[in-house]
Amino acid sequence: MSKRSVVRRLVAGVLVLLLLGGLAGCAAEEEKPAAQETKVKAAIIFSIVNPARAGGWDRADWAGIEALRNEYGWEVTVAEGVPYAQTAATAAGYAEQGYDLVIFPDAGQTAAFLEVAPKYPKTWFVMMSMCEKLPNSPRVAAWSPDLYAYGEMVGLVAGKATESGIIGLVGGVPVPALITLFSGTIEAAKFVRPDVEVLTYFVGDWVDVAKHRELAALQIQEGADVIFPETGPGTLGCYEAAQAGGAKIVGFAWDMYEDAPEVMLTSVIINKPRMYRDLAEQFMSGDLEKKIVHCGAEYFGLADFRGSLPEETVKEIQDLVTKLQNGELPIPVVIHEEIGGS
Amino acid sequence: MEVQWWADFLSAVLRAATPLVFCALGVLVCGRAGILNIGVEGSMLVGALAAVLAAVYSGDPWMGVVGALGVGLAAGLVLTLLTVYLPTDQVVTGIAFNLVCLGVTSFIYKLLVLGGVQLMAPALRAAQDAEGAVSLAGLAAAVTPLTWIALFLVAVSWVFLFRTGPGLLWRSVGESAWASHAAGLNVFRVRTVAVVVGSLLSALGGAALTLGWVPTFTDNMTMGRGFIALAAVYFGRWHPGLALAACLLFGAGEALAFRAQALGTGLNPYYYLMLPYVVTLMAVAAMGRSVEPRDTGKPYARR
Repeated sequence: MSKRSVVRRLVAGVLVLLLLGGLAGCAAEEEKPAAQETKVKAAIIFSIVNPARAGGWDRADWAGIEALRNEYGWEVTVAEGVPYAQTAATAAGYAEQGYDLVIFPDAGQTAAFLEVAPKYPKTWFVMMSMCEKLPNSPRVAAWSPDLYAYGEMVGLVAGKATESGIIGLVGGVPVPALITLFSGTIEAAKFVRPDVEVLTYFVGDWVDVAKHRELAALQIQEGADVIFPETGPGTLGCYEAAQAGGAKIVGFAWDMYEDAPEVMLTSVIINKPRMYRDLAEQFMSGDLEKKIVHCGAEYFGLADFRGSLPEETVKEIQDLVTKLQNGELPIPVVIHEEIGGS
Repeated sequence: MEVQWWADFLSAVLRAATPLVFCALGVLVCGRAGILNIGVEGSMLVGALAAVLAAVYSGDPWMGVVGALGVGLAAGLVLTLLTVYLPTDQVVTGIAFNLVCLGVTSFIYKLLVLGGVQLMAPALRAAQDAEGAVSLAGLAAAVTPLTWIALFLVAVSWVFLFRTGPGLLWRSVGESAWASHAAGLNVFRVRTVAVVVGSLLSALGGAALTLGWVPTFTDNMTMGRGFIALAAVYFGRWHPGLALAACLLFGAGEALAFRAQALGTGLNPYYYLMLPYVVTLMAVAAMGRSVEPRDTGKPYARR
């Protein structure tokens, strides 16, 4: 083979490589917009299993996930039953896999939120629960429901509905968010009925149905005729106690009527789908920024009473709720730290 | 305190103790024949789910009990194969069995609830509520029939194990399988019957938790009650009566923990909620070392 021929072949080879490279480059160029058009990949981490059928809080989140999937075409991966201690590692795994967003639906995951977000500044980390402080990272946000206001709405319903004047509040674990919520309930119930007595008991976990039943039954024995369970899958125990004891339930966070139609007074709904829609709109328009969105009473509402109370009582409650949403009710803000004990 | 308070308290104690009593007996009859029934939690869990499903689909809580027994029998046969005939390490097998049962029940439950099945089963109700339980007869009527069945089975197991010939042979298998074999006993047969009976009792514990207490099912509903029953057997020195006392003690601690919150002392609820565990630990410490039957937990294979 002549020297000239070798040079010619080398040049040809280089040209072919360049051509292939160019084609590949073109392909990459062509794929770039396609990549932008591909589905947004989000992951959400639940500490409980089966969130679609768990307590109201998780069901509300599930409705939000459905909105992301069906209305915005997002690809949402759901991790269930992840213990708090493993939440940060799970979130880091999603960030390393290139997910666009990692969502935490539970204030119990705050430590993981604060820990993992600074390590992955290219991934958005979003808290969909009570949040007072954002992690030190550029891509973090929170939609934080005002649980005191939520508790006030519960208190208005329970205070108006109780005939015995005794309301039972069953909590899972005495975390600060729950103390805040129950404090709002106590103050609002007193606002509409000054002589009301509010019994506040904690089960110690979110899931043990039998323990939940015992505590709710105990409250009913003590005269409570309206029970508000703010807990997890263990809520079913409270429903059963209410059925056996003839009390009524105010459902938590989502319309819980189907779970116990005989005892459901109404449910105080947290409009989590709206929170998720806000997130989707802002992410897709590029307007999502580092901030805490404080979701007030306008994010809360009542489920249908379905004849559980007389019409005039329902009307009174709805009027009070409207006033609360408009900021027209002078309910004092008092945090009852004593209910969580010391 | 008022009589009514005590009536409520005692019925709550019996309610909480009943599932534990069934499971403790399940552990005890296995242990007395030389099988350490670590899988009690799993058998209880599958029994709980089966009881709810059978009761929901038939509309009859007693069919739920039958369903639990059916699943308990199946679980017992699986455990027998693994721990008696293969035989594998009983502790490892028991732990693995519990994990499998947790996964299987959660999977089935998830399929059913997503399929729209309402898992609120008809319950085995007491003849009257605790308000009428101010006398012994009233208290008897304020608990479900499963409580009385549990107490009856405690007596039956005591009579069988300690007052009959077959019970003596049963215990001899647990003390020394090889000596029993040398004496002409079929160790495999005794252990097979023991594991099956133990699983049936554990599954009944699951039915007592659901149909006799909260007639529904959730993931991991037993919440470690099988292991508490295991501890009760050690506390009870492998004796039915003392195991019953341990279960009642734990039930009393739990009932007291809930009622203590009503006192409004301002203490953190966790102080009250750890009461049953603290009481049980103290009782176990006070009872001293419990010696299990000598061959319990040891695999037996033909030479």
